[in-house]
Amino acid sequence: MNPTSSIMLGPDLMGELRAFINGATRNSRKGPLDIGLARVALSLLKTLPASREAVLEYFCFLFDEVVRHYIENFEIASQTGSKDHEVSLSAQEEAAIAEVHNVLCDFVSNSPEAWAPIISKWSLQLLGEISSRYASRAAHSGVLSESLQLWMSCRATRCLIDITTQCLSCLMNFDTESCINALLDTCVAHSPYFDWVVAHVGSCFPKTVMTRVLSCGLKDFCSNQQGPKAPKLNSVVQILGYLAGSHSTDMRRALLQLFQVLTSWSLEKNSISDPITTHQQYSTVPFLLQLASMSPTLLRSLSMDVLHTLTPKILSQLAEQSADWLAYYGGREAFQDLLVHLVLNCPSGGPTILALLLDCASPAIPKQMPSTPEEIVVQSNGQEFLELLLQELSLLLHRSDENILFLSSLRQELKTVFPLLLSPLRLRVQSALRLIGFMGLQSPSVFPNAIAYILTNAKTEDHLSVVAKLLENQASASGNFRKSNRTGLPLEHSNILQLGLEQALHKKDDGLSVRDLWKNLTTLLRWERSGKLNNHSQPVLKAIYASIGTACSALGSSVKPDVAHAVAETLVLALVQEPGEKRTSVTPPIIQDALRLAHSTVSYFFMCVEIDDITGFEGCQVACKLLSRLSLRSSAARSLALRTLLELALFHGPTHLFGANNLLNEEVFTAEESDIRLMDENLKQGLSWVLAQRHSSVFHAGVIGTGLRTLNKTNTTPTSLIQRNTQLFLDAVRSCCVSNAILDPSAMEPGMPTLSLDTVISVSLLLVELISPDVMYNGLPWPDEDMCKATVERDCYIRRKLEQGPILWELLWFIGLQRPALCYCSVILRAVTATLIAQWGSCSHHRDPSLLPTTVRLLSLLSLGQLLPSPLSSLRDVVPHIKPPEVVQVLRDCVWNYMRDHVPAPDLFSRDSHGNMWRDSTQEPPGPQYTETMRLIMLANIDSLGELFAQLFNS
Amino acid sequence: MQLIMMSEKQSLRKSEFPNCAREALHKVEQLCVPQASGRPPSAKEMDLAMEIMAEFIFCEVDRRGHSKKLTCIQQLQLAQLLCDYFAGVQFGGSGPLGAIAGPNGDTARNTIFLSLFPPTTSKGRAQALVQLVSMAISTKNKPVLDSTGIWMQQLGCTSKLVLQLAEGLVKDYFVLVPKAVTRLQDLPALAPHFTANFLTTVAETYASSEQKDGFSPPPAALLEVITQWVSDNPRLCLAALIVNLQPLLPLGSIPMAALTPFAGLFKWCVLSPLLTLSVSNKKSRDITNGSSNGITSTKNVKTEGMNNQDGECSGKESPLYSQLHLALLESLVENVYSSANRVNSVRDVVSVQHIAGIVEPVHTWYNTQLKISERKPPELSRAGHEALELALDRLGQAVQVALAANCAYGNKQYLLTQLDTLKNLPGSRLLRIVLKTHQTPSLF
Repeated sequence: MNPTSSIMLGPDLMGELRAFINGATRNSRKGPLDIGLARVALSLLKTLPASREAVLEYFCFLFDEVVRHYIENFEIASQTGSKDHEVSLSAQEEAAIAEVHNVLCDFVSNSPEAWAPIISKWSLQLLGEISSRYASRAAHSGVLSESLQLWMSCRATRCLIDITTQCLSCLMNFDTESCINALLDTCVAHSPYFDWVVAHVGSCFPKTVMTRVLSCGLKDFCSNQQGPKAPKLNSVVQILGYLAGSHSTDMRRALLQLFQVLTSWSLEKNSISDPITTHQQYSTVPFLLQLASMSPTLLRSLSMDVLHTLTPKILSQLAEQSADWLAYYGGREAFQDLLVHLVLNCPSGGPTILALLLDCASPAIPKQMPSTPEEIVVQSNGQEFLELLLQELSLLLHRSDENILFLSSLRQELKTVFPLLLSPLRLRVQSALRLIGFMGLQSPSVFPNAIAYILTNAKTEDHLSVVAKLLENQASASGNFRKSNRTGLPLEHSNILQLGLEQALHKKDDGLSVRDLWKNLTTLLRWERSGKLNNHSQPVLKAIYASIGTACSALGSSVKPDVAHAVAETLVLALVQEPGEKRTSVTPPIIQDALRLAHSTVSYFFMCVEIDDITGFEGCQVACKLLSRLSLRSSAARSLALRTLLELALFHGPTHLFGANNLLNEEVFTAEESDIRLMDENLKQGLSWVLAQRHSSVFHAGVIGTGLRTLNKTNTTPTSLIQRNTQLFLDAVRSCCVSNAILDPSAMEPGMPTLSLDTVISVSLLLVELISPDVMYNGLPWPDEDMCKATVERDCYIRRKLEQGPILWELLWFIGLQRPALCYCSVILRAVTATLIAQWGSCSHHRDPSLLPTTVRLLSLLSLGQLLPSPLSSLRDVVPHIKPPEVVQVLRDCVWNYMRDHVPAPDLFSRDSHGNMWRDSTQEPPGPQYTETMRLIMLANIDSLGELFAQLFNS
Repeated sequence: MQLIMMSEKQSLRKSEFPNCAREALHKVEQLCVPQASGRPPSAKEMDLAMEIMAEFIFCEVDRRGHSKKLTCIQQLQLAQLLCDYFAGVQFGGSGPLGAIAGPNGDTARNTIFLSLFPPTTSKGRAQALVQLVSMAISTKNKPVLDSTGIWMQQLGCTSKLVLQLAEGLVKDYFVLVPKAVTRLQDLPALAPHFTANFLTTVAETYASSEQKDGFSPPPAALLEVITQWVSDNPRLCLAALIVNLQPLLPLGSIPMAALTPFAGLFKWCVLSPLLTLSVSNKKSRDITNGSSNGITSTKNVKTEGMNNQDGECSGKESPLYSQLHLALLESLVENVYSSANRVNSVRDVVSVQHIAGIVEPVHTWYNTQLKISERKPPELSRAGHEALELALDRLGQAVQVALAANCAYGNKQYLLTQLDTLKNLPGSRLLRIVLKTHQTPSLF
């Protein structure tokens, strides 16, 4: 029998037909497969159109038989435990199926329009029947991939699937609707068992299948008027859910397309459209929502693209359809409820939803304010919905601990929520506050983040007040949820604020926002001080204390003065208590912080000194306040501050601002020193002979090879400025020296010293340490004048220091005021005196113009410090009027000898009733051996010194 | 009587499907076919016959009257059984072979056929009929085809059932299994009456006024086969008129008037150039509009040259229509010139009413073309002009030949009035001449 011979005579055909009918009706499901019969059937199919359906039915039996056989073998194989699941079919079966496959495929490919619907319907139905019939026997678990593997390894079903996909691929071009409908219908009929077919087919044509399944589902959804109970809906959801898992992009595109059809349709709704289309379009939104509510995967897909296309404008366009939507869900409340739950379960797109809701409820731009009735409806609905959503969230959070996807998605995009906090619109701020409160329950780090955001970006007090609200929120939240707090650590406000502050500080940002941050902090602190914050644990202060390290670095090394000003202001507010204020319970900063702060404050001070305007002045004052506060707190900080102040002012800082004269231009040296080679240096000296310990090439006029020594650079700083700076500096030093007494102003009596004597003494000791090049011979006693020959170098050195830094004189003056601190500067005074004596002695011809002022200064200082008693203390008035030899005489006899014999020691001074030290010179007036010289010289110059003489010696 | 009926049924119920159908056929034969007495069957007998058919032959209902259905294989079996039965080969000497043979046998056969498939046939049975006829065509079962031809004519070639049958056959032979077309070539020789009626029905199917443009192109294979049939058998279209039905029909039946396929096929030929043009126009417009299916349209246009001859989606009309038109004209002429020699020459071949039906779609087409025309004032494109000229020429030719051959019947004046409305269309020169010839000069 040749199945391919197409042209046959009638009787032959009749014979074949009889044979087929006999075979097919007798076919008693037992015994081996009759491949001959199959061939007859195929030949009939080709030649006798009337036999088509019968032949196909016969093929159903045939395939069923083969599959049954396969399943039986499979069962045997799995029972015997053979790992090899390759269950082979008999050669006859294989051949029969292959032939059927070929013939059917030929039909489909030759005239797809005619055959594809028939064959696809047949194969789908057969697949459905087979898979549900053998499902219980074959698929042990309901896992899709497993059943897919099982069926795909069976020749018969594989062949069927192949035929199906071929049919569908033909149909996809022109009759998608009916073929997807067929797919859905079969899926409905054989629901769980048919999934693998849909899965396979769907992944062959994901795009088409999805689009069509969607549109079929929509039609079904709206045509039955049953909405959620539509018969095919379940299968639609299952199929789409499966496909969305593996082809999410296509899925999203398909959903978006469906939605865009709706929006574009509602845009041009003026165009005529028949009621069916209208109805269908009106059902699109409920349909999509229904899909989303039934499958999380679809919800995810929907929330990715479609959501982003929504705007309040589109919503108001859709508003007129809403009445129809409600019909599907049995009322407004049910619909809202559904929506709320959908939103809560959105795994992504939370920010978009929020933005959309807020845009509806309270438009950010005035232009978007609702004008048409629809838009107003949208607005009021938006507000209502937002409220519902927030309430539901709160309810959920109070009820259970589980994760809410909407919140998680918001949490991932926190930066979209935070700006709402600073919105001028009340609704936005409040919604954001509540949301942050909710999120904070699940992840406490949200609060600090939010606070950091506000601190950095707040521009007005309204913005800042949000921080207070946040803190309150958090307080109530952590109060309620202390037990459920996941970290197990109850977070205090200060902690939160502190964490927020740290975050804000560590954000690498431009200076402007840093300054704002500190300004905001100041405002907050001020509120806290004034009790506005209504919070007794002083969170702001604690937070500031905790981040003092960062503050220090901002203060000390900040390039931008305004930032530093802001920081300093905050710190002052934080550290300096107003008189009469209650002591805070907050633990003060630890010692390291205090030290750092001291250092930074000094840096800040010098920075301010350099600023030649009112802000600089204010900054200096602020710095002084800070210093005094610090000094009171910690003596370590005090001494560090003092040392730093002095070192910087005298040597390493902006000394020129304090009138320093650089006598030696050292920089010239250092600049050229770099590439000097010893060889060249040796050659340079040429034939001159080398003296030990001596630079034979260095002379007073300069260094051989570098030309003349440049003249002293005179300080160009205006005198007034120097005076101001000096004053500021002394203020700073004074701030460091304040005594603890000022902390208690009530106990302060009018005459009491405000400075701590010990500190001033330490200043003088520090001064000695800084100025004197030696550690030896720095004691208080003045030796014999002859000893000066030994100490001349040191004396010169000290003198030079004083010449270079006039501020030293001011410092000494300051020390002199705090008797007996000047005693400890004895070595300095001694050195100056010694050099002065030497200078006066040699200046008969050439007189340095600064000699006399220096002498007067020294003498004034000595008398100020009460180191020289009564008549001697007036020497400064005498000196300008006498000749140099007389000056030498006076200095030697009256000053040096007196000082030598009366060691300038603190025990010369006694404490008075106010605690001030005082040397009562009337007790032991200087002997005549000290005053006689002075008296005689005055007598010699009585013409100009008569009046003074009368005052001094006319007793 | 009631008792007899019950026992008849009981005895039939003893056997299973194929056998019970076979036996039931005998019973029906006994009940319906008047015996020698010449008495037509009583109403009760007819009712019993109907019940037996429903329960035992087509198995549409079970014994309690609930509906049921045969499997496809069983349906095929039934079709084969009916074929065998009508061919009379199966019953050997004992059966109705003697009764059916001869003209008397034809009558009996037709009687049974008509009662098996009454005008009120259900859908399921109509499908069985399609299967039966389709199988009869394949197996060249002349008795079945003859009976079908008579059945068609009695029901009316434009009745719903007949249209369904034709549709089913076209689907079987021209859509699904084009290879089986070879079996159709000698169909006119085998069963001319059936073929003629089939032609009329098919022509009507594709040119009924319910179609959107008055005409939808038939499958290429169908057009080809029809053209071949008409060309090869000039008298085929007249076959229905020639047969005298009266002796073949059951007693007391009135033969229905035959309808020739001429008018319908002429409509094909006239409207096809117009339709081909508008289809291709639409496609080109789709392309220029860049609409969503632009790609597929482009593909169609590209392949235009290849499938030129199926006339379905090509810009040019299939040459087959020309051939068909010629064959139709020749058939008409043949009828006239051979009438002198032949006995069975017929006169009332074409209804003028029917031909006049062609006029309206032409007008509709013309107006549509003007509407979509982009020119001012609206006028036809060159291709449109050509197509219209061709269509009007064909119409003119058909009218002229029909009138000249004197084989049109009905109110000729009406036809001329209708045609008169086309006079002012461009390209109607031939039509004007035809009109001039036949219009009687006006009295005024």
